Amino acid sequence: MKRIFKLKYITLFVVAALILISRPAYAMHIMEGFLPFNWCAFWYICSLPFLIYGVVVVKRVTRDDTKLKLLLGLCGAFVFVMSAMKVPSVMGSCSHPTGVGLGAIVFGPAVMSVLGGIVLLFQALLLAHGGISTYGANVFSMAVVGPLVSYIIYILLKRAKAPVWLSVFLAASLGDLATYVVTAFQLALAFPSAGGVVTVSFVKFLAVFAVTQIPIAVGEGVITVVVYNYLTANSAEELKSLASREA
Amino acid sequence: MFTRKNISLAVLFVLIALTPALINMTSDLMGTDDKAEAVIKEIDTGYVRWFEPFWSPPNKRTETLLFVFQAAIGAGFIFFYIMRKYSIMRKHSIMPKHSIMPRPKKSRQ
Repeated sequence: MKRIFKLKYITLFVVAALILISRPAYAMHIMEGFLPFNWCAFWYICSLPFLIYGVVVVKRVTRDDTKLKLLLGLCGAFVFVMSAMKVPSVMGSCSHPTGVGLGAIVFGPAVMSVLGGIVLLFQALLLAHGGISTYGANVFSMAVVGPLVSYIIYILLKRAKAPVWLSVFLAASLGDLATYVVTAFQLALAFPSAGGVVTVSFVKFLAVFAVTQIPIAVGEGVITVVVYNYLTANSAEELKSLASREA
Repeated sequence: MFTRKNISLAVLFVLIALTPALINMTSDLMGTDDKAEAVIKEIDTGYVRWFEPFWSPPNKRTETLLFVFQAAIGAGFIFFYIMRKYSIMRKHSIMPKHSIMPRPKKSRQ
């Protein structure tokens, strides 16, 4: 018993230390008011169907299985932790991982659009990080495209019989990168360079995000592999029941 | 989660996160969203922010606190999940392979 308690405290300590070193994550999402009104409306319309479909899927998944509800909570909690972590880069800027890759691999992209949406709402309202006017655009990049890319990469690599760790790693990190590419694209569409050239602005915005985001994407891939390993060892039953539903 | 392989991977993650922080210890880190803001101003010099946040954290300390709060919600739930899974396994005396978590004691009877 004593040893168990010791381990409990060590884990608590590590978690506390992780929280303490993470500073405000001023990064990533499009800031409040920095997208013209028409584009805000456009992205709201784009992401709304995904959110609605996501709610339907969440209801169906959790209808009769408490264990799956817990697992869903875990994926949500993972997004919470990951998007609160400010990771600096060598270039002197910082950003944070998204954490949506794990849930997309386990539950599919539709469920993640809801969880990601919740986290984004929390950050927009309480932290003034992201925003209500740009909420649609941010949901589209982080909660729709990110998980979708993760899921597609995971499925393709699984079909290609790649090792599980590799497919999880690539799915999580490329999904994270996709989020930032989409954010850059959204900004470029709204702010084309002189003469209406979108590509020039796109490259400019991409340069802002890419340098900071690539190491973070690698980090997110690594930590997602850790959690996925844990799930395959400890929650095999739930994963199996999810797989049988999809089939 | 508590296998040697996983722990080394987690250490790798912390290293990735911390190395740049140690290199840039003194400089003030700028968020990528503030950088994007600068690019917007460069492209469209006349752009005016048309919508202000309803509420934003009054100072840096409150903001940090709220971010910590967010991370704590997540970390707390993850910890709860791990301990719950662990207690179930202990009840049924099964453990995943190669775990460094203490092995459950078999009941004496």
